[in-house]
Amino acid sequence: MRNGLTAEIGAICKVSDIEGQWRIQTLGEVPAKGFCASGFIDAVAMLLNAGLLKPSGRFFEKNCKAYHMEPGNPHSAIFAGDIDIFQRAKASFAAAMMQLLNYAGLSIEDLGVLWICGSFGQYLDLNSAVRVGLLPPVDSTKVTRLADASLVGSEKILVDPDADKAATAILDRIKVVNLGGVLEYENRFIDHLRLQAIEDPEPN
Amino acid sequence: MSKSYIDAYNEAVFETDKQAALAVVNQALNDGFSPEDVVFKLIIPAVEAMMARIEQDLDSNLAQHFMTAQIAADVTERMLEKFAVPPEFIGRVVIGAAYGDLHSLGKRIVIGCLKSMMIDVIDLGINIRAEQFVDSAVDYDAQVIAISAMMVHTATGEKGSLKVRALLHERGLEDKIKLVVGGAPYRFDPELYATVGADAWAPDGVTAAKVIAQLIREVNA
Repeated sequence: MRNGLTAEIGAICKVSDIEGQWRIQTLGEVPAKGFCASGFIDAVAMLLNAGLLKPSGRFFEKNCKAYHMEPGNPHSAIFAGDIDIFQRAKASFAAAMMQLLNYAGLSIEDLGVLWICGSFGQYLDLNSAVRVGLLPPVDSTKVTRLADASLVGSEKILVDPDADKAATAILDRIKVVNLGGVLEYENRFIDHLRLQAIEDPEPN
Repeated sequence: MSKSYIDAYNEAVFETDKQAALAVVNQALNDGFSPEDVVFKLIIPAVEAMMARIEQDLDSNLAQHFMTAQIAADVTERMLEKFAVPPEFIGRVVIGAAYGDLHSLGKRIVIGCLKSMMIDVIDLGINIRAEQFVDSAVDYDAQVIAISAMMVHTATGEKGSLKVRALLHERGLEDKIKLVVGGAPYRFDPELYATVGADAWAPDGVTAAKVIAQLIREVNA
């Protein structure tokens, strides 16, 4: 992505719509140097809501190269090519979740808890993530965030004498599913390239 | 078929809106058009026009390429089930990704275009051995083997199309089965197809369908 950053000082981590005006927030509250993931997803949701970006992933205006989330700041620009890349990433993610639900014979409504792990997940705006079709539309009370989940797990294994048993119990229940080459998954991937909320049941 | 259906269908496909595209097709059927009309007068001209439009449009994105082919293939399959007489395919293609190549999405665009142009497709999947290409082409009576390779080493490797060519030669099948290739390396070097022993190549799905249709005619002649 042209203005893509990791979660570092100067990264736009949040974009909000305050009475029709976009307001960006950066890490460290310094001038924006680019977007980290949560800010980028907010921006895509804002562009969709404003009707500037179409569900196909194209800008509404012809020959428009980029939109600036902060007027005059070139580091706050989002280019059409950035959206294209984002569509692929979010489509693979959403298609994988829907494929796994399909294999399990469950619908989104059946989900008791949606765990969001990793540091990125901690700052992700749920409304934006649902709006662009990255996460399934679940009630926010069902979402549990867990930062540094793998580190916490490693720590537990090291200090808790019963952790091994618990880990084995989980391993026994896990089934590895390789989605590579699964035709149904590929079809879903293409359907989920569209920038819109995930529908369940999926339209035929 | 009136221009209004064609325009509405094209607009829906351009917007990657599958549901809207299907709605246009259903409307056409309700208004008395036959499934044959939908395929030959709506889908086939549309996929061709749409691929040309998005190839030339610098703002077009990957979603549009995939959706154009996917919607066309999907609608064609739904219509074929409703044809008054069983559809006549112009020929059959065995397609797959080269040995060692796990990329499957590029060939999907080609498959979509082939299906919508009434060419029967046997999709072998990814990471396909040369023997499997040739054996399947013989088993299914296909006129063309199409190999997708997205990396230079799977395009030029000894176990890829070079080996398929060698097998076709060994088994005396070169007049009956033609070999075509596609994928990123061939776009960078338009002469590469000949180096790897292919009869032809194409840079995109619609061109691929046309090239393959021509080869099928040559084989059947």
